[in-house]
Amino acid sequence: VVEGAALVTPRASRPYAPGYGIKPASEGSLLDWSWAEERLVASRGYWLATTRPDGRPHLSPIWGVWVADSFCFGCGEESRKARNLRENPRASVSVDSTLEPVTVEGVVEPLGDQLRGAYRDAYQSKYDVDVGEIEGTHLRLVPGIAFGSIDDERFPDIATRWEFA
Amino acid sequence: VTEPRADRPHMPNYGLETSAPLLDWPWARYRLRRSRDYWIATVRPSGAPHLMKVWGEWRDDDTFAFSSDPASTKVRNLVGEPRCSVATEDVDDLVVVEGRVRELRADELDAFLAHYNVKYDALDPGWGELSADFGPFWVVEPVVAFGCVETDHRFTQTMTRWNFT
Repeated sequence: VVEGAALVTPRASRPYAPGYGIKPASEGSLLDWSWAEERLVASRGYWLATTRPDGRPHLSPIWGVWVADSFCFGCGEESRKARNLRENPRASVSVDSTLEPVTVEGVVEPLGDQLRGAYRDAYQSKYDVDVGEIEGTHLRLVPGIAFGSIDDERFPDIATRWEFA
Repeated sequence: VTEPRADRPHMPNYGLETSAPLLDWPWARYRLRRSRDYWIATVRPSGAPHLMKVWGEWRDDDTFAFSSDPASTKVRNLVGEPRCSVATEDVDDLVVVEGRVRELRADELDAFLAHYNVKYDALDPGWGELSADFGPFWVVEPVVAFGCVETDHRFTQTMTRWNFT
């Protein structure tokens, strides 16, 4: 197994989105997870949503890399997002495209020593930044569900929801 | 409309330059108006944040109006937790607005539909038309907003917070 390579294939279905004319999964087609993964790897910036201790959402831009089927990122120990995630580890991340959006919802956990090398290499080649020299906490969002679509006339035939075991 | 008060937010360890000039509110308003797509972050009853793309209109009174099916995930979330965040589509030159949602009033409907249809006819000729049948309609009233220019790493010099209360 190549370090950082895709290990899982989630189950694909049609999302529940009433009023948008989305067709049942038996009509049209579903996107491949590899389509979503390409976009998760390639996006330069991302949006990260977390929940504040008082229940409000917090939305901020973030850099990160898609490694070992997870979104890996760093942030300041005392940043708003890090403090939110210490209280409530659930988060959503989306790529920087509203025309071919991919959004992943899941649970954030510490990066762990095993992935540190692959994370550092991916970060270095993407941003030309040594993430090992950035002070702070390094985390990974492990997907539970994900959504992807193409924002044109194909949308009703192609919008896809993925569920991870 | 009175403009919100600008200051530099407290972000420990992010190296923000306290002496660099703040962005002015018309900079943010311009980006909020011209964005075709927006991200809206809401919180599910479980406490998990949800991130979804929406179309909408940034209005002259500095509020954000949009339509969504009452059975959609974001609306079900907003009924339980009306506080939400809305961001412009460009993650490198961005504005995030945190606020509270309410239903659009009947006396606001005609102007909203007219402005919305002018906006999206210009951006997406032939997309269709928003009519009163697509309700209910919602308005996000801002409490605080953040903006920065991430391009060329200018984030530390430009990060600005606007306070509406």
